[in-house]
Amino acid sequence: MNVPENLHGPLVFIDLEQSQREYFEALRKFLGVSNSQAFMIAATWGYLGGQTPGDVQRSGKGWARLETFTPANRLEMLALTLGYSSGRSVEDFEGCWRACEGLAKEGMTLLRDELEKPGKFQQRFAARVLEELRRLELPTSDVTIES
Amino acid sequence: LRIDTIEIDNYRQYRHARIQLPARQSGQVAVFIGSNGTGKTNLLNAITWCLHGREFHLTSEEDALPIFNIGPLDAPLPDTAETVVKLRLSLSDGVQAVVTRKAVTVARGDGGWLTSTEDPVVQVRTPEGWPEQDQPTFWIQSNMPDDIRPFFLFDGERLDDLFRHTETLDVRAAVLRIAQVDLLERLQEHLQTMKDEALKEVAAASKHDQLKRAEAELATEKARHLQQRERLESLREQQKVLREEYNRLAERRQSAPDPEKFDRQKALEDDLDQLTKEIYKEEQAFYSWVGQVSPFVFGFRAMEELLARIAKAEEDKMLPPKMQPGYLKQLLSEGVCICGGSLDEGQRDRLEQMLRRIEEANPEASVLSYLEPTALQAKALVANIKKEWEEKTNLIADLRAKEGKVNEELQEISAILRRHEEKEVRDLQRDHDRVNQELQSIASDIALAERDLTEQAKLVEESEEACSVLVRIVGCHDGTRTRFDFVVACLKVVTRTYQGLDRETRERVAAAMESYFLQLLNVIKSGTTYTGVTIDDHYRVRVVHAKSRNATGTLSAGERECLALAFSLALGEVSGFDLPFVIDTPLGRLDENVSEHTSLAIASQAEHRQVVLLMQPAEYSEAVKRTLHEFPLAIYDLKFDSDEQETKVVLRGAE
Repeated sequence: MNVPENLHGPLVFIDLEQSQREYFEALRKFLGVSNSQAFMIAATWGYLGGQTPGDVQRSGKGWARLETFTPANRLEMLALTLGYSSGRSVEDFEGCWRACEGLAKEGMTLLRDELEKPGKFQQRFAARVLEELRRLELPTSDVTIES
Repeated sequence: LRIDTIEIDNYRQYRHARIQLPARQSGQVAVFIGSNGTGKTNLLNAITWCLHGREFHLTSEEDALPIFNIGPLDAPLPDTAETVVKLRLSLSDGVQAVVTRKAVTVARGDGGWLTSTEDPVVQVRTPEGWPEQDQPTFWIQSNMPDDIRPFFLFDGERLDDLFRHTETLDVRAAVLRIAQVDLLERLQEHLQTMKDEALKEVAAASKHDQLKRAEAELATEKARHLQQRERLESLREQQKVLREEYNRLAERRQSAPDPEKFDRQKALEDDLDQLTKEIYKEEQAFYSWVGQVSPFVFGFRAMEELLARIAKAEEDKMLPPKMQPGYLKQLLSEGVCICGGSLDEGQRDRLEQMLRRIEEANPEASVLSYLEPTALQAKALVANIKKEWEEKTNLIADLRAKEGKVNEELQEISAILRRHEEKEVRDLQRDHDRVNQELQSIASDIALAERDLTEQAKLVEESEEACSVLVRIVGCHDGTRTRFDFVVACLKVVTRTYQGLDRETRERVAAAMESYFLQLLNVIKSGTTYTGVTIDDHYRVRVVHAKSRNATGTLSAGERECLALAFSLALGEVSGFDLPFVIDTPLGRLDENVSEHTSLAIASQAEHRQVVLLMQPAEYSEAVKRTLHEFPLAIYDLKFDSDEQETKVVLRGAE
């Protein structure tokens, strides 16, 4: 995949409150994903939840480093944040990363509610993905989730 | 002989029972119907115990409850209890008799019981009253000998054992018993001794050395013969003990599970464990995959918007089709010129300058052109998620289905094995196999010993013949010689008579057995393939098949039971003993077709003798009921009260 050199940039963090950290860890544990993957889930969950990315203050103690994101993840971050501001330049990577961090923080707040619900989180999460897939109306066969 | 009434006091399930059986004139078949544990077998046991002092049909005397009725569950057991069983009998000559047997049981103090069974009391009706017989056991043995009892009072389910092991011995013993040749046997032995003594006298009186040597040789051959016969008898005795042990083990094995089930249980537990781990692993992998792809699904719209932005940039001619920075970068990395040739230094410099200028002139277009292939790939990834999802969830569903099946089988096996100790079951199987092997080995030892004995008998015969010839040649005292000749002549007659009776009885039993067997089987498919039954000189029973002289070894358990039943019916017919048939679970292992015909064969015996059938409700099926109703019946229900631990016998009335 061709990615411009300057698509790299400053570190990406997700600075969570101490009380939110355990949920982030729970998300990682339940889904068996890395920090950066959990960051992406939180960010897209926030995007799906209609959250607006704003500027974020960094403490410098977050977990996700840009280097650990795949090119596809980085593209995803750009796509998520560009959509909110047609005026934002595609070149403004730093702005995009910051906006995405904001989305991820908001997404984590929403995910916390989901994680706290009784029952199996993984199943609810998979059901949500499936629901979204159906909503996208892609030309593929139908599937179900086995409980 | 008929049993008119059975009176039972304090014997096993029966606290007080007085059972009036149908009168001879009625020709009725008595049918007792009761589920497991209601006391069918113990009714049979009560009869054999009263007559012979033993309960032949107990699975294990050691593990049994005390002989007396244990009373209501909430009442304490007594320290001592008396049991009485009384049978009123009618003999074929019109004589009436009462046989009574009592037992006293006392608690041993260690939870066990000590039962002292008294001798029977036999009272025979005379014009003066009911005087007691001086020799009650002899009276019983004369009218219902213990050794022929198994052919009249028996458990249908155990008939199958008769033709499983040592059948030759049983058949020979049974035929000889009913031929009543025991007196002839004794006479034969006596004459043989007399002959030997006479020969000794002749030899002693004679001065002829050759006769003396022949007599000594005969004595040696006879000693060998005796030795071999004793060995054979000892082997047969061992076989009998082994067979009893085998039957006990087989009985226990019937209620025990197959030891292989324990292996299967372990294998299933391992499979289940493995499947559970595999399912967990696949589920975790699935959820992890869902986590990884979810951002592309959730952010799909954003990606589409980005692609739309790229498309618009292209439309606005912001992305030079052939001069896109990506294209230029590719040429540079591959060292290829736009014209297709190799890139020289000068061309490389020019391309690098061009790339820098494009990026400086329109940085956004440059980034967008980089992003397009990645965005298209991300979109394709989402489009393929459903297919991959289906594959992964199907795999998990398949594993779960497999897990369900394994679990189901495991539950079934565990339910069977719950009440059994593995070690106990394996020990039982090992003992069973060992005894079975020993039985086979001893059967072959017996066959060899029989052959040796036959050969030795020939040697004895030859020696005897030689002696006889010499006796005629040598001169001796006339009186001694005459006695010798007389004994020899007598012995010949007795031996001929013995052999004749033996052969005649065997042939009659074989003929009757064949008739019953074919009658029993002619309704089932396999019945048409058997053409006869024979008993050869060695008392081997052979079932003749349309295509084989001997198909006995391949008979099914049900067919073996029919064969054994036919044997019992034949012995009953040929014996001349007018004894009742009392059969417990007569149709035990037989299927419905065979049951119908078997019940017909048994019930038709009611013309000649008393017939008492102890049946399970399942045996008394509609078909059997229809068949039996062709005969006059007296039906009794055995009703067991579990609180009172007592069985009541209720006569339905002649139907």
